[in-house]
Amino acid sequence: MISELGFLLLIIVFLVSSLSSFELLMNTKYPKNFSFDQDKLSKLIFLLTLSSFICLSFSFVNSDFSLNVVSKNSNSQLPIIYKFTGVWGNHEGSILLWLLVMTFFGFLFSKSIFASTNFKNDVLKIHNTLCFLIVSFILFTSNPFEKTFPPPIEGSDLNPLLQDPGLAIHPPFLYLGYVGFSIIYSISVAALSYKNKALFIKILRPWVFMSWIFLTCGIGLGSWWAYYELGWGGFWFWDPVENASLLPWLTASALLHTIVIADKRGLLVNWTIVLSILTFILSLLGTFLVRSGVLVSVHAFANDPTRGIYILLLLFSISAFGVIKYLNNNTFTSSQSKINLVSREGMISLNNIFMLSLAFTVLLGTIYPLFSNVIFNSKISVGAPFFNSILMPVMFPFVFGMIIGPYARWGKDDLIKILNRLKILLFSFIIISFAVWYLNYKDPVLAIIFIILGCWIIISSLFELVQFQKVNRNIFHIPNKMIAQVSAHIGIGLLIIGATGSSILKKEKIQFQEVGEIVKVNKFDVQFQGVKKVEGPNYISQMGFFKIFSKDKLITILKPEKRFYNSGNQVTTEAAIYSTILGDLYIAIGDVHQNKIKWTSRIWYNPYTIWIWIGVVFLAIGGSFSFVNSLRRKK
Amino acid sequence: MRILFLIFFCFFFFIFYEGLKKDPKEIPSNLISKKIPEFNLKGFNSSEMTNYDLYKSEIKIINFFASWCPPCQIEHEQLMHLSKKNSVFGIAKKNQLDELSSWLKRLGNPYTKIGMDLEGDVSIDWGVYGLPETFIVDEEGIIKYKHVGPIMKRDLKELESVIKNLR
Repeated sequence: MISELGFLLLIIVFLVSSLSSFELLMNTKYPKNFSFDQDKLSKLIFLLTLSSFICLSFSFVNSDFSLNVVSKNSNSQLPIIYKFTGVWGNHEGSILLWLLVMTFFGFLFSKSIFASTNFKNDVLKIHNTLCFLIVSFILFTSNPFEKTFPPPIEGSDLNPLLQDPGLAIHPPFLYLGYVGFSIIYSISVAALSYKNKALFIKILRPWVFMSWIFLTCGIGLGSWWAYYELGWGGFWFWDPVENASLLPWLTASALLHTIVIADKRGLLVNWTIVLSILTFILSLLGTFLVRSGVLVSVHAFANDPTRGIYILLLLFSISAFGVIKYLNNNTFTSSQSKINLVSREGMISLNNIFMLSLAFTVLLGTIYPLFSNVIFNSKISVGAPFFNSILMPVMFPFVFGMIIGPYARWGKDDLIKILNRLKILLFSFIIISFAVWYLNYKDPVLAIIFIILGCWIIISSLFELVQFQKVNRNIFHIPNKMIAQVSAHIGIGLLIIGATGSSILKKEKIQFQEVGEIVKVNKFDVQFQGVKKVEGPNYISQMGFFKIFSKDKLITILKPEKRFYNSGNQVTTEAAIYSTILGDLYIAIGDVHQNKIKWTSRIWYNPYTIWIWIGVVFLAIGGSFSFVNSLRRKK
Repeated sequence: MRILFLIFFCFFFFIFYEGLKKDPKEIPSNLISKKIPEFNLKGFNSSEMTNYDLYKSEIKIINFFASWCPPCQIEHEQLMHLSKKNSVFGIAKKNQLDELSSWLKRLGNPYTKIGMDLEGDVSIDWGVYGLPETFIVDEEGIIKYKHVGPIMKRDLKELESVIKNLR
């Protein structure tokens, strides 16, 4: 009964949102002939979608196995929290979540008091049309309310890998980011029809920051989950799915730098709009690559070619609409005021160039296997070595820009003068470089260089605060935008250090370990104590016990697990991690040897890994300050 | 500008649309219909095993395996079955002699000859990226078929039909 209601509500969403797309279509031919109150429509669409989502959640929580998705992705033994998160642990439900987030943003925008009624109407018209496209995708290809007959008595399980708090909250965050770009797209495309586009930058700003924060957190959570759950000892694998989320993140990061110039100086307004549209297109492209199964990925999504074709059509119609609108409303005249390279805006433009070239290369690497398969009919896989090697050369100018940029003045500056102002900073750079080199001289040169670069960024960001205090004498009244920039840049510095440590410097030992045997990894002695059978709510686990000694003192006992889930015969690895600020000791347990007394143990020492997650937190804090700032400035 | 965009759009649409029809998981071996790579390995029960062993007369099955690889144990029964009518050659990757001999004693030895690929570089020459992998090579030493992963009971039919067609 509840599920029928949910389905019915979706059909009403389809009908209501079709009014918006009808108006959008007609108005391009006969301007202002039709008009619905888009404001009310978007509120209605949101409430209907929310109710439908609640219906689906209700079916999941109550284990209504007559629904196809529930029977395939849930189980009566499942803990209640995973019954609920199972709603988005499958293709159909997650697209419904996508729609929910999208309509929610439409709803939020309709509440916005900053936009004029006319403009609001134009934005929501486009946004509701996007909702219409998604809801028709759900109804025609991925209906979560599809019945199965006869209903099975017990459901097959939710994928055990997804039965984890990290993964339970990771998709909603990612969606809040991805889908947040849809409203940015709608605002930008709507703004194109107006003469004075700079007016809309202020409206756009908070949305950009908000979506960026969510996407950052979403990617961070996903990477953290992969680190402790997959038991591969890494945090980033350059998998197509990861790249798909990185692409819009890169362009969005470029966007949130440009939008500052656009807002403050009225420059690069067109470029801001292009970036906004591009970011959403890349989000959709990512969805296509991930959900259609055109690329090989470790992420197993249910793939279905008809869905692929639909998403492809969606991708191209939305991109084409944005591009055509842009071409029709722009005359490609170069803007009157030139930008000096050595100036704040010049440095930010440089940042944009690097961000975009990085995005382009990642995109190329991700879809190249598809190209070569279609055009040359040859299978090629592009892996981590490609991405790592293209990342490195781009890093250097990028870091220098990050260090000098914040000290450059708006309008026009001089490189010599900047360096003159930064004498103390440059001096501390030299000291820190020697200190880092002295402490790590045994490590590979590349690792030392990257750690030094990371330290430079952090120091130069902190130095900004010192400079500010010198001028203003009051450390407690630092403007929000400064905290935001400093915090985000420190985040990037930490990220570079963490990523270097856990990739170049990581030490790995794989062996058969006997009970009582000690393996030495870095400064730790790892003693294997044996394996115990432990029963969980819906799995049986082989739990290994490892005593960790440092300088003959027992520090902790690590308990990595291998879990066998009762239903579906799935096995997951739960790594055990001992984190310190200098590095993580990371243990995963494998199979038993034929002689039954030896077990495979994989022990990693991943230096500085914890700083990756701390870096992400810094990024998010920075974003939040910018977000708050952009809200205040509108009033 | 507009035409440029149109061409750009059509190109990408074509690529993605065509891409949908292909299965990215299907990986054909580059070695198929090529001659087997040259190698010279220490033998298990013989002094050596080289590529010349695989040129002789009939159709041969070449199996890359190791005693430390659990899936290899799963396919062993099927290899025993295949060895009744065909000659099966083994290449043991990074395997110690004593471990291998006790393993074969326990499970039986289907192999006509075994090469000891102690360094694992012959496996790399053959493009083997996981164990077990199995090749079918014809009389002239041309690779005709490749099977990745353990040979299960359900795979036997296909392997046998490939061999039958070659004869």
